[in-house]
Amino acid sequence: MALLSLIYDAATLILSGMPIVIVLMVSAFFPALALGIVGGLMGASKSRLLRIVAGIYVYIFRSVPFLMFIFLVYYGLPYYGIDIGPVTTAIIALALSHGAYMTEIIRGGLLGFDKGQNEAAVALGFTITQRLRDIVLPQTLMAIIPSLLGQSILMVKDTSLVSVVGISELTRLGREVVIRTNEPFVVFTIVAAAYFVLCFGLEMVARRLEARVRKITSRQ
Amino acid sequence: MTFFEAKDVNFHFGGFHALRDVSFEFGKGDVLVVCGPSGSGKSTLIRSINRLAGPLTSGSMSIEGRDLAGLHGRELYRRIGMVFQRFNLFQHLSVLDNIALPQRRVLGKSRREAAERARALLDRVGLADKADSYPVRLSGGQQQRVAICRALAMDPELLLFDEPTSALDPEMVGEVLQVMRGLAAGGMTMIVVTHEMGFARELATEILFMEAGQVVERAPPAAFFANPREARTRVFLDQILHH
Ligand SMILES: Nc1ncnc2c1ncn2[C@@H]1O[C@H](COP(=O)(O)OP(=O)(O)OP(=O)(O)O)[C@@H](O)[C@H]1O
Ligand SMILES: [Mg+2]
Repeated sequence: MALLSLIYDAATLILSGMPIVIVLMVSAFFPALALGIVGGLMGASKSRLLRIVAGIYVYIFRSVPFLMFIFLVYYGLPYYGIDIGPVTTAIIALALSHGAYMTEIIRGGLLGFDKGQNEAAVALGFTITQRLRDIVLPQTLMAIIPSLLGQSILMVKDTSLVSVVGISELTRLGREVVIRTNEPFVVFTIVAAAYFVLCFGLEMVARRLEARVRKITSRQ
Repeated sequence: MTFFEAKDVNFHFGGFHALRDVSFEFGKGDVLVVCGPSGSGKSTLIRSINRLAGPLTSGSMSIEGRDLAGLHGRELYRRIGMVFQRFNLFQHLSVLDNIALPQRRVLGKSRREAAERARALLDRVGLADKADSYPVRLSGGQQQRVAICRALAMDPELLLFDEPTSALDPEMVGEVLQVMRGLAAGGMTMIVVTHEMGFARELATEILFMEAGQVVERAPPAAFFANPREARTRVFLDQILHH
């Protein structure tokens, strides 16, 4: 009985951290996607300079732990008089870091795009922006939707790291409950289950979309 | 009267001399068939007409006396359409949108106008019932007919075909050639790279035989098949007609 009420109290408190996880993920996802599209277009472009710039971005963010960027933004910027608060910090760090991974995903998608269709669009008189907007990006993004959703799962998991800057998301709330109840095993099991439900849900959506995308793009 | 003229055209891929002093001309409504062994420069020739291959090294091409090199991309592509060996339909668009979208984007037509034109063209090639299908659901022959509609919808003055039937299963070649026959009868000016010698014999105004980037022989079909001047043409015809 005591255990049940402990679980109930802990779960209620911890789940109050769920919305902020979703908010962080969703509000970082779109800037990350925008960065990924720009970075991917640069990385797949004919210009060597643009490719190098995109490459530097990708390698920096892939080679340094995410936690370092949170510290850099959270402690570093106020040092120069820029104070943006923990939530914005978290969103910027998540977007920059995952934008680098999305750059790689989108670059790969663009390089794999059917050259024949691109030529057909040129021969019909499409401008380069029309080609990208109407032909290349829709197909490329559709083909990589599953990978992008996979990336959003990693983003959910990375939000657990932003507890260090004092955002009351799942992980931080869990630690607070542990301090009060001294029941780490029960409490962190609940936290883990909450992450699992979120990520597994996304995973299911990704699977379903993947099947649909395959149906549309597969050749006979 | 001359409609299209190529004059001393040379084209290089880096250090590789792909077109060598190519010259020819033809009139409005003519069907020029281009043939020759693999690697002889047929694709390069028609792709250099609409600049897909890149700028010429030297020489010039013109339509009604206007140098193509001086035409803006938009203008050039509006005047010259192209049909590819592998159809190259837009995979994420329905058959109707494949034909309608370029009209809207490039010619600035309204959605309704473009769709109406697309439907009329589909009807002409016997694919009215496929308007809402996606390209992957069509056979090769059907896809190529859609690709022809897509090019026609732009009202080109000249249509380029790069081996339009060689990616097709034999039983589908006929339906595509039938459409092209209709175009020729309707007065469409075309350059057709093909090894369909039946088509060439029946519809070509002239046949241009290429080898190693050069025009070896150019003649009306009757003369081309009956008594080719060049030994190389004879060897090629022997191979293609008897195998
Ligand atoms: N992008 C390229 N870069 C370098 N060389 C090329 C390129 N495209 C074609 N070539 C070369 O130019 C020559 C002519 O090629 P082209 O594709 O025009 O021949 P083709 O007559 O169309 O042959 P096929 O019947 O096989 O289609 C070939 O030797 C080919 O290897
Ligand atoms: Mg070719």
